Amino acid sequence: MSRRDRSSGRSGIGDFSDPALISTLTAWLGASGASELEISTKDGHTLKIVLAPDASPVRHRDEAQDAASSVPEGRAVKAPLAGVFRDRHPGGFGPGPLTGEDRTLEAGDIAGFVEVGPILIPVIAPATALVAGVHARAGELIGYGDPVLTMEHA
Amino acid sequence: MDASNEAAREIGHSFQSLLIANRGEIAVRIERACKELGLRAILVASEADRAGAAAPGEGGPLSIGPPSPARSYLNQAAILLAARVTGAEAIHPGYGFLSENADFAEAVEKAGLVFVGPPASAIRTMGDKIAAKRAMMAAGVPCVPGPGEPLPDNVEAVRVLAEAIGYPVIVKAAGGGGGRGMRVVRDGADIADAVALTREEARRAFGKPELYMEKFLEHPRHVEFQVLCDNHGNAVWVGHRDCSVQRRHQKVVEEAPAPGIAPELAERIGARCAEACRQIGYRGVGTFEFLYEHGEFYFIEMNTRLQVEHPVTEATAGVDLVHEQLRAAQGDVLDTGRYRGEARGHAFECRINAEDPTTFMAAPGRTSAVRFPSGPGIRVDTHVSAGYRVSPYYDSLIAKLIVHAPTRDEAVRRMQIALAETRIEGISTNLPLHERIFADPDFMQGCVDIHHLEKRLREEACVKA
Repeated sequence: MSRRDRSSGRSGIGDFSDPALISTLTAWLGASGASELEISTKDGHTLKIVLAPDASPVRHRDEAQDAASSVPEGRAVKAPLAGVFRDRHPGGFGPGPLTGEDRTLEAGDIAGFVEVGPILIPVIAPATALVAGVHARAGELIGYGDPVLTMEHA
Repeated sequence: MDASNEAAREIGHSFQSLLIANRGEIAVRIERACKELGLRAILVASEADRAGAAAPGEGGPLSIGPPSPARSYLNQAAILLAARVTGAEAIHPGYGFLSENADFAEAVEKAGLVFVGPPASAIRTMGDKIAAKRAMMAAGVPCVPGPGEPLPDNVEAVRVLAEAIGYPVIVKAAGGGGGRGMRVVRDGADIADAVALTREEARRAFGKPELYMEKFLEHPRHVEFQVLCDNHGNAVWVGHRDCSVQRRHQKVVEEAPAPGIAPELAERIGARCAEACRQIGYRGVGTFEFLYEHGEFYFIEMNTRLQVEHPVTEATAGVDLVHEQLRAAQGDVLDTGRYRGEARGHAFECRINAEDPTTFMAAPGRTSAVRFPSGPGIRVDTHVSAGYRVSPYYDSLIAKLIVHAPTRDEAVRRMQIALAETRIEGISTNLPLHERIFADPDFMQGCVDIHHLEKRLREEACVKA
């Protein structure tokens, strides 16, 4: 039995201009603990939702309870939710992987994406630092909090 | 939803993969059933549970969120996203968490997945105590004397109702549960205050000020009936259990069958439970909970999910309730001729909790050594092995020890030995409490009421003092 399917799930989502859809996606985003998501369709349409700081309804509710889990383990950059790791934008933007060992990332750089169906959540470098190791492999399923990469100060 | 989808949902449809939206022993139990039925089980976990495993590392359950239940096992969006990303076709909610959340059941079906449980409408009906009582009365299920409708605002009208029922009465919040939002009234002089206080408590705690009132039973037992239903209008009852050994409304020991219940009476009540299921369009497994006093049953509520104590019924009725639940969700027709409510032998279950044996406070920590008994008639449902870290974030249940024997006396003896052979080191557990219960002459004789354990604990405390 395989507990971890590498499928990215079924595709297909409704009209991006539908307020109900945007509302649902925003609720999912808030619930996941991430702050932004981007959806692209094959015909080139893109929807990007960015939560205002502190907008997540869940983020603070259990902050104290989750204090232990929010302590960084070394300088690991972790997955913001469960999904398929992408080392580059699936739309084909850019020449290659967004990160790799011995590369320096600036704070706020996108180091990869977590994809759930049509939803893309960026994995963002929290500080300017050298990438010491990339743990997630492109196309593999990763869980919430799984280490994506490790960073060391240059 | 179009008509074809609606029809497919009504009869259920087959699936090959199942996401288990739960943790602990019940996740292990459901995973095993999946293996037996050839289904692909997909396990999810919070960060705390993944880190707490005896051998954490690669593989294992998919992490869906931080330790707090609200952000992991109760996070509907995270679970639906996990189902999507893993290609799950169905979701089993286990017990607790989202298992009786009608909105979640609806969201699962809306996402095109199968919810392993009853339709959202049945969960809603049975989740509202007044609506549930009304539905049960319509099906001829005996209820605690009292009107099956909310109490009027007028205090005099309430007083008239209370006198018609006869004191003592209990005033309860319609949306309450777990022993909260209720008050016993023994005299007409106290009724006005009791109603006012309970209404305010109900408004604050449950967001719903509706109250109802019933006859208060002084020394009842807790006896429940297990039902099985499919999506084709078939429903059967498969046995009854006694869950009277409780502490603070939490069951500690369960047994099947409930001792001292006349078979004709059980058959009559069980048949009415099955009829109620047919009337509300129920699907899957469910439990009707009753108070039982002076040879009469009084319905209290229905649990629209698998129960923690389901193994004692499995042992005595020769049924795999999780298999049946999964089959019903797939639209299979229930073999009603197979189950007649007859018990073969007797079974007990002890809930082993990680808790201080004196204060009963939860006692999380890492186990250093674990040894469970084995042998004929012994079953252990657990997720715990040596090196497992019991998390402070969740229920403290770490194992269920179940024994089955031809008679009740033999089952008592078997449990005494099984408890003596159980070793869990590194953390505190309630094993000493179970050993005391299985040495208590009143318990061994059978038919203790729901207050017995607390009374016994108070007596022990007095002796020590």
